[in-house]
Amino acid sequence: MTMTECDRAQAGMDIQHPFLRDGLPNHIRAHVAECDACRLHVDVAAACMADLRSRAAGAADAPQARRMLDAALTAKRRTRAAILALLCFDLLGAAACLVFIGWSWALALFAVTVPPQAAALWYVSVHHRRLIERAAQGGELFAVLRADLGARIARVQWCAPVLIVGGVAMALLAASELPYQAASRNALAAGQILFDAGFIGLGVYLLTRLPAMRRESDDLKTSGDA
Amino acid sequence: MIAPKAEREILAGVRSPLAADRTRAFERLVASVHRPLFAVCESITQHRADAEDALQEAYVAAHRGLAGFRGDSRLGTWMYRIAIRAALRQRARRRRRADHALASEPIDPRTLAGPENVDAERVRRALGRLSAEHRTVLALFCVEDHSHEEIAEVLGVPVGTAWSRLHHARKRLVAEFEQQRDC
Repeated sequence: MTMTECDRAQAGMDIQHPFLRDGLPNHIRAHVAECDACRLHVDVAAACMADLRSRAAGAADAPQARRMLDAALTAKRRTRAAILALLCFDLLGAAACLVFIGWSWALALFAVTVPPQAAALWYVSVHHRRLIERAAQGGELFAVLRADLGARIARVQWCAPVLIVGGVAMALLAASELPYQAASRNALAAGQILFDAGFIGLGVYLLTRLPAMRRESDDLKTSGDA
Repeated sequence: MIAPKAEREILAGVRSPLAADRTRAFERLVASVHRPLFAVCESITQHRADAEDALQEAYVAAHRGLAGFRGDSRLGTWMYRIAIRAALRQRARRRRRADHALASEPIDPRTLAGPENVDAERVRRALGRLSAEHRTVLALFCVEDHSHEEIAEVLGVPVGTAWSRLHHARKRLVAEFEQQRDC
């Protein structure tokens, strides 16, 4: 198979490099000067090289890239550790709330299903005599339960600030990641902020409900004592 | 590519027990490869922000992997491989999001020094229509004047394949350019 002049010239452009008219050997340059097709090849290739090199010139300078990297590395490590710690902290708070709430409902279930005498014996031993007495009398079971729940949450009132502080801190950490991440990771961070907002909301709700819960609990105690 | 002597110094730095030496060595590595890597990433992703993200991802990966770098290939080649993989991933992510805004960004004619008889914007559009594989090989060839052997090493293909890929990329570029002109 014989190669045409154009094939030779274009193969020469592949070998001789860089698409620059001045960098081409003389015989290719002579052909390119006469051939429109090859001239187009050289010109497009030269424009392509200029374009690609202009992209390199448009890069952020290395120190700036280094700073971004520092931020990414430090933020990743710090954020991972902090988020894990805070998540454990918040989950502990939420779990404490749930355990107390769950315990109250377990008591209620026990109170309505087990014969009063047996239940009373058991509750006396675990200091829940007042609740079971009221529950066994029937009637105001749910009011009793609600008050008991309030009293229990009031005993774990530290949960509310933990949830709020932890949620805010985690949301801030997630927000601090935003400028450094791709859009998909930004979406992840935004999702995390929403999740943290849930913790904050629960904390605020508990905080605002605490006085009412304590009041109901005290009312119940007073009426029970009377 | 990084000069062999500089490469040895950087590798000695990253293996140093002193954190300050390791940081300095990594800074030196970033400074020596940043611009060409950015150009290659941008030509693959066709998106400046994506290129920056890909490059950042590549640096993080390099930072983690540098201590275990065995020296089977040149350091520059290794960095190119990581950056190209990161850029291809970034490009795939953008495509998955169906936000296929890979259209060329506005070009600043002052930054170009191409031939005056060729419309630079049209060349950029033609470049954007090439496959990522072709853009990668063109970028490697143009930005740092890599040899065919170096391109083959970076891409992990035989030299002949790098050669033919470059040849076809150039032909495809001209074909796309002419198609744009016809439109």
